[in-house]
Amino acid sequence: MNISPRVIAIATIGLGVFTFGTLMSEARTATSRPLYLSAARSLFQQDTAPESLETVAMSANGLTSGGISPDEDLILPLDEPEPPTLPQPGQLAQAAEATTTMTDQALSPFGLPCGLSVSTTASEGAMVALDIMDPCQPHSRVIIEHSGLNLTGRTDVMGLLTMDVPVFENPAFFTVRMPDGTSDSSLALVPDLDSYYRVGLQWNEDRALELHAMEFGATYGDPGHIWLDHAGSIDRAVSGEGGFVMQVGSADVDNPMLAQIYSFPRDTLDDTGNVRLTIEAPVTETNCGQDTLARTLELEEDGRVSVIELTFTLPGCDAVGDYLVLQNLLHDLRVASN
Amino acid sequence: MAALSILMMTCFASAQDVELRSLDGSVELSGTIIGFDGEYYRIDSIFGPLTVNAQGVICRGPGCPDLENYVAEVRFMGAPVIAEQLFPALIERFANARGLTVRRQILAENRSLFALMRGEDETLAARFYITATTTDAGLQALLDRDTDVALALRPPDDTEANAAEAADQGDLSMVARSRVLALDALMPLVAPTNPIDALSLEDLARIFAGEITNWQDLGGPDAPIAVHLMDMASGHTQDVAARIMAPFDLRISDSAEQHADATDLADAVARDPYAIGIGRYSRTGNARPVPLRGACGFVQNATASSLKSEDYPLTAPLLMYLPVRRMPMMVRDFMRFFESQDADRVIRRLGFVNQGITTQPLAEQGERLANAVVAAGDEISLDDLQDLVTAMAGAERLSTTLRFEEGTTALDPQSLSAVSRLAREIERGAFDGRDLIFVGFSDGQGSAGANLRLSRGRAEAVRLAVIAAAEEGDLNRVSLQATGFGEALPMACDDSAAGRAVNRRVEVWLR
Repeated sequence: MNISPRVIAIATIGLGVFTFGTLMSEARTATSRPLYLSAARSLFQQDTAPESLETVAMSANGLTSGGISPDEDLILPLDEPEPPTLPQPGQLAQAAEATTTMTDQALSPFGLPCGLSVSTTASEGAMVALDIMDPCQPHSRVIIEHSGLNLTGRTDVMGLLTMDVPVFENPAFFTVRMPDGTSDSSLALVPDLDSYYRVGLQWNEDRALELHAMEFGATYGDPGHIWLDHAGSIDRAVSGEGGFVMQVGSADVDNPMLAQIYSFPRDTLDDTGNVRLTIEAPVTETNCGQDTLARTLELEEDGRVSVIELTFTLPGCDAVGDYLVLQNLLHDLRVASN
Repeated sequence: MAALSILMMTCFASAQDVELRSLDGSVELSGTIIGFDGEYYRIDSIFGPLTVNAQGVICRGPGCPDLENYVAEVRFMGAPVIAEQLFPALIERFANARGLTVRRQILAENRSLFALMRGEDETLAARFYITATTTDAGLQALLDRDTDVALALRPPDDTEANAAEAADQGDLSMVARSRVLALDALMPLVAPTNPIDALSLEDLARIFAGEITNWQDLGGPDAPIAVHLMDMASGHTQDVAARIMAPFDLRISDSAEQHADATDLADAVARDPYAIGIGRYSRTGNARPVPLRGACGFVQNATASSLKSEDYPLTAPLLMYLPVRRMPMMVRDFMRFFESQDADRVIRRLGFVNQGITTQPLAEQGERLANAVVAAGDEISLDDLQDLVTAMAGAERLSTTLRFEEGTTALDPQSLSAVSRLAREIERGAFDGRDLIFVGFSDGQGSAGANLRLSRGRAEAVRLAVIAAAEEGDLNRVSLQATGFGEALPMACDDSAAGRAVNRRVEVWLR
């Protein structure tokens, strides 16, 4: 592979005082995470109580659990006492009670009922498959919040958005916010999260940051150098060979928020040693000299996620073509064989 | 004349810019505010400078600080391993435990600002500035008041200590001035494929002095030795010079490849089967640590427990030196946080060794007893050994071990910290109903009789120091005894200064 000259510059980058305006206020929403967590917990503990389910499933426009949507399976309580003989009217009546304000059913151009629904399904590699649907908000910017991670996505022409996200907590709690102010949450059990070391780097705007992992002493271009261009795979992790990196979030919206997440299996085949992690960025015409807002996420042994918000300025435009390398912002993974 | 008096009036008014009144109105003070640390006002009054607890008074006047929105500020500067590896994670954990979030702003010249924000209203609670330079630069900045706290990989040398006194910065060796943040050690590292099993300190010194240049001289293959070290200006390399080279009157040769980062050093060594480096216990990367072997045959491995007890001779604590003045409350809370279990967990996760007290049954220390038998002879009799074995029976050894500067009864920094930790545990009642026995040992230099007295004297000195430090403990609930066995239980060879320092100790046994 072709390696650009690298600027080993942790902080030789010049930096003035700067403000983040709307960027920052968006990132701030994540600081209220304990609140979401408690909501998640109550949902988790009382998932047989219909009231609590409704509380969580109800979006701001109140349509989540209502209507005749064919895919309400996740949202509606399974132990609903209604007899199965009259499913549609029964549910309609209940939704009307719960939401009160909506009298006539708004429909999308495709004839689907409006309203946000979110569902999550755990998958291999301590990941969650996120299915977001709001037929009346196609081509819209969606904010996805999880455990200190904020991502943007974009719904398609049908108002559908799917995304696979490596998670940082079990159960994994997701909140999805739409441009019209509605939001919805969903929770998934991720039983294999304990099997991974996991770190994340999230950034705002088009900054093209990269997470690089050097497994067991690998150097640039070695098989053990894992980054977006040589990302490894879930299979590689599941088999204990090594880690994988994934980029999540969509840049195809205003004020995008993206992240790269690196996962490494705790049980490796035979190696013992160190995985070094660096944050790098090619200095380009678009990002040179730009103030950058990012955050690091590190999953600790006790299941806690350590989140630090970062601000720095990328090198000036005379350095276009160079690489910015930030060491020591993420701690090395110290892998011990059992 | 009129103009002059107005001017004087103005001066007077600004000089008396605060008025502090006690809550019951009985005491009133006025003066100029000198400082406020979030808890105490410091004012220049007609009685001279006074420190007044803000909770007990009401402040009026233009000079009154904003109590609600007070922002604590502190500057840390020094060794990169502390500034870049240890502190960010500790600050995050400290903040999280208080419901604060951390924003790190990366500034120029290896400086970062960690802003601690209150979760509920997004206001700023504290600013921690952290600069990664070197131990030298940190200690110098402390003298020049360019930093509030110095981060160091070694204690200040005599020149630095004298300069501190001269600069009116007090005695840096004072207990109150220094803190042991975490434990680490200097450690020889080789590639996993390198066959060498152990090295003596002298061999190590001669390799880094350029006197031994081929692995053949150490019983290995005929290949030149590639030597790796940290930057010459780093506290790490200064520690290598002082503790590995100086005892053999050797100097570091300039042929060593130098590294700025300890993991870079370890990984450079790991890639070259003919390389050797002196790295750190906490940053072994993918290299293999080499145990130390004394001429008399003792082999010392660096492990968490041998670092805690300083049984490993190149234990190197991470240190922090504080200013003489009082720090803001949030900063003092942060300092106290280092002694918490939360901090201990972070320290362990980052590869350092924390100072949490652990125990190990003496029965598992058969190797030590074997050492004692080997060392027995002219000066140590069978009776002495039997006494020792009787005393050891059924006891556990705490990781807390106290060690002394050569030829003195002065404890080294790690031991001072250990006394404080032990005292806190006693206060907490962790040893209630049990016997704590302070057991002194000496090195083998001098006569056995003198060494026995010396070891007992040191054990008693430590016992008294612990009692003094555990002032809030109920000493009726725990029995503290002191005894000594002289040179009977050596742990290292007496042929080197480092070995003698390991042997000269007070252990703490629990029964």
